[in-house]
Amino acid sequence: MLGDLRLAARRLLRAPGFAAAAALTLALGLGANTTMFSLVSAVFLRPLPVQEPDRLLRVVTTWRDGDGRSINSGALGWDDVPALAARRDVFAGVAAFGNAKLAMGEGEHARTVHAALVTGQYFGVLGVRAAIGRAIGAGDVGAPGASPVVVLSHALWAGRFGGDSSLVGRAVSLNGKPHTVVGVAPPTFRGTEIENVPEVWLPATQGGALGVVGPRAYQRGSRWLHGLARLAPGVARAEAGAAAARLGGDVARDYPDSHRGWGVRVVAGGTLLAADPSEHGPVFAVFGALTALALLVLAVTAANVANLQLARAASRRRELSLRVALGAGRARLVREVVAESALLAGAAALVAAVLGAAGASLLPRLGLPPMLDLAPDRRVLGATAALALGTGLLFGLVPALWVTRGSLTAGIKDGTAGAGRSRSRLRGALVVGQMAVSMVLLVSAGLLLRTVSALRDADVGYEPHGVLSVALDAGTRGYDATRGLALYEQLLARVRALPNVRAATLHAIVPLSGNGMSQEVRLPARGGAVQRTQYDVVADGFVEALGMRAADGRMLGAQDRPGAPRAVVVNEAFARRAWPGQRAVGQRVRLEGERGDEATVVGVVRDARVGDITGRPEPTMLLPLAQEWTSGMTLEVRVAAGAPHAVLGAVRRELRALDPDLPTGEVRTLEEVRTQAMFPARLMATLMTAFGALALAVAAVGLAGVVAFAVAQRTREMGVRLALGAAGADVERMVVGEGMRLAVLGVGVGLAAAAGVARLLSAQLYGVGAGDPATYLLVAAALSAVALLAAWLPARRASRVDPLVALRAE
Amino acid sequence: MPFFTSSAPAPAALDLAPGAPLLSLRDVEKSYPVGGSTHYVLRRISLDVKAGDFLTIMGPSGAGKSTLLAILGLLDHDWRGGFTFAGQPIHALPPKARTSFGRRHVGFVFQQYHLLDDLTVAENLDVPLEYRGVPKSERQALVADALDRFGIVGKKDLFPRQLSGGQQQLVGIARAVIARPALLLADEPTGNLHSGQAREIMGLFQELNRQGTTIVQVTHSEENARAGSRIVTLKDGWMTEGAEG
Ligand SMILES: Nc1ncnc2c1ncn2[C@@H]1O[C@H](COP(=O)(O)OP(=O)(O)OP(=O)(O)O)[C@@H](O)[C@H]1O
Ligand SMILES: [Mg+2]
Repeated sequence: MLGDLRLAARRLLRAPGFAAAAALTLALGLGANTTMFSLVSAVFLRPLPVQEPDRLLRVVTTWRDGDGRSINSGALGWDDVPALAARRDVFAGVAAFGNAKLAMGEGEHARTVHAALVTGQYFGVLGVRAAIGRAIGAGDVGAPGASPVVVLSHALWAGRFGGDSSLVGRAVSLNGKPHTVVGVAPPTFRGTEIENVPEVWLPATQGGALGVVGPRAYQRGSRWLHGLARLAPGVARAEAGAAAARLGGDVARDYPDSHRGWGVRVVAGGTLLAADPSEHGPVFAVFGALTALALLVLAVTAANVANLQLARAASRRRELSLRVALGAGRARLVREVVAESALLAGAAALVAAVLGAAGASLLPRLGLPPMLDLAPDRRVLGATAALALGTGLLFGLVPALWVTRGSLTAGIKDGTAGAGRSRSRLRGALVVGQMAVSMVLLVSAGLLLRTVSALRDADVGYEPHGVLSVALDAGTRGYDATRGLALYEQLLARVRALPNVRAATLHAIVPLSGNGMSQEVRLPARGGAVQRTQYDVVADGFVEALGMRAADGRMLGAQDRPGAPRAVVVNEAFARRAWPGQRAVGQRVRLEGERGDEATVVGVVRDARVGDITGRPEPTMLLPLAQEWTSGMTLEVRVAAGAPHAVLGAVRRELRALDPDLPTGEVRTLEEVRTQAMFPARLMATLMTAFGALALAVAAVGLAGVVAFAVAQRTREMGVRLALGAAGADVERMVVGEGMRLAVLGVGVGLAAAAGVARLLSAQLYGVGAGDPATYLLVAAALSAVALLAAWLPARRASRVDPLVALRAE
Repeated sequence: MPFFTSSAPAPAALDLAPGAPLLSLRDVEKSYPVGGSTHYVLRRISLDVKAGDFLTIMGPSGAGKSTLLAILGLLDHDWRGGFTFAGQPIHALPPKARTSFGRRHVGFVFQQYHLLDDLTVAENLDVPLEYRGVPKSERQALVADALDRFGIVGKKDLFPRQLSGGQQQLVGIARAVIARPALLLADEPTGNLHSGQAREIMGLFQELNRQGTTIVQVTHSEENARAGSRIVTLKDGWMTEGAEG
């Protein structure tokens, strides 16, 4: 075999043009896959820097909604953690964490940091030891507020604190309260999530004292924790899953009040996302589709290599025949061609690793979370190499068998007879396939691009243009309901008085930010029927500031004070669901299941897309802030003109005037949030367009190659035709026509295939049908135009053939 | 053989003054640059061919016979000297016009027949007519007529590889004359045939010549040369009248 490879290398070096063309095309296709692998690996495969990642689990909880459907909710309650941990037979340890944002530092220097509020087993279960000092342990998680300690992330410590190791033992201010730094996490450890990457870790029992969780957070029924568990030695994941499911069922039975419809599942926890479609359906669909399409791109490029191999074999046919006459067996010739392919694939894999890494380094520009480590690792490079080898062998073997089939001795007499005709048919079929795949990719890209533009123009039910969103949390400075409400009302009054501010409000849930709150309400008019609903807590002026539209009744306002009769506004989806065919205004709902107050529906707003930009609006309820104190709010400022960010300075000044130590959280425009919500669609559209363009370019090269080869092989025929009276344009048209026949066939096959693929894609589409004729026509026209150019460039050579070749004896 | 029935197309109109030659070469020279120097293939060729002549060009291999034929057939434009074709000074025409002039008046027969492999006999005959823009309905009639004249009606749907060499050359000649060129050029038309077949082809040429077609053929065979009315010999690019030796 080594000898074969050495000989193959020598042959390839003698045809450097062919070798470079084949290796580079293949590298393009492989590179697209390397980029995709990097993404898949970073999200699903790269093990977290924890101990024995494959023994780590995530504990997720499910709910059955009113219709009996199971929804992944994810969150655990405070009591659920010890209940799970008690199953020592299956779990070596169970831990949980909640996400929060805290103000670090005082006054001018206050800055929001992401925090993880962790249970005592968190670092133990993960098997992460502090780089400096110690981690948080069971001793820190006792009585609420008893242990104000903090572990810093390595990045925060090295950045903000300049890597000062004497920091351990000193205090830092978090939400205005001193916390003793007990340790610094290792640089590799950045939590376990794609988003909300922690910069500090604190005992979960500090949440109340910090004002980031409500007073009921440690009672049964409040769920804000994400569960992690480590398998007990010798226990399989399925066993643990069954035990967890049984436990979930028991808890649901024992506490019907708070846990009706509850269930517990475990999924693999050793990566950022579990490679578990039941857990991340949409992410899986997107990644699955992109990976499949990247493989199609590879197929297109590999077809080019096969095509080049066939062309080369055709020109070597006489030599091959001669060698058969000299006694070489077919197996031996096949081995030679395959050895060449293997070498080409190897070279292509090296180039692909570089190209793929470059591609992956561009991905974050599309808005991928910075947590993702996209640098190709061993796994990615291994997959690239395996794919290269597989492709090389497959696309080397097929032409090798094809070339050596039939009577090789015929070739001695005549360089083009025998298998020549069927070989050119195979080459034609490859080009047809390439065109068809390009068509599929480009139609998909076209539909996704139209989806993105439809999303951009979609009526979301509110007006995101010209609104600045500033996150605030009065809880971080220890405000209670009364003082907090006063602060927020003063802030609103001051902001509304600013020049260029048209309206301002505060609410809890920024639309399309991915955040949401839901609760179950009872409907007295329907015998206490339960309805699950999204809800938002809003200050007055909400409808004006967000540009929503009232449908009926009145909106929430100044009269909805603490102590006044409780009022809510519902959206149309809620009204339709709860009181079909009846007027919603005047109806009553009991909030938060059975324990809560009754409230009167005073108004109905038109539906808006808050949770999901493409999905149907969900039932949603608006509660007045004055009657439902919530500390974590977002200030929405609608400007009269210009960029919303221009008012940020003034808003900050007003805030400082009220409380110099209250930090602002995330600042963005509603438009930015909305754009971010289109991320999956944009990611798909961008990658698909890139893949489609790549495939088309390669297919065009393939077509040009086939045409050029045909011209070269048929020089004599062209000469004869010219001698028989053909004008240059005649032979040119003939050659282009033959190329275009392949292209048109490819477009036809591609149209049918694209229609099938588009149906699979329809879940990702919005505002455009999977069969959108304009997209198909446009792509077909574009493809034909490119094919025409690709066929015409080499065809020009046909018209320049010297007719004298017809007179020359062979 | 029923050559040239009335339905054959009229030859392209040529204003030939009575007694004036169809072809007239004056000091035609052809050379290739080889390395730094110039390699002459044809030297000061002066030749008149009258309408109705059957001229044979002979000479050793490499003498420049095919080269001369290509110039006469207006396939080659890269030469110096004077060349008048049916009173038309070719040397004064731009290359494009030379090609289209040639297309109208010249038919070629090749040593390797050069039938188009993918086309049937009938389709091969159709090719020159199509390139000359003859309407489809007329083409069908002309092809049917030519098949008939050359006695190959039974072969019309066969592909070239299904014919013997002699039959292929028969088709090649039919194809060369189907558009009724004023000049028929043949480069070693029997080079790949055995002598019996060669005699038939020469008979056919003589018949065509009797019907008025001017023929210039290249051959190595004395016997073929005798079929013609006149012989010139090329040697190292120089031309002499008559057979050599
Ligand atoms: N492209 C070219 N460059 C240089 N020399 C050429 C070229 N084409 C032909 N020649 C030379 O021109 C000369 C005449 O060639 P030509 O084909 O006319 O000979 P021929 O008389 O037809 O010979 P044959 O009887 O073998 O067919 C030869 O010496 C040949 O080497
Ligand atoms: Mg010759």
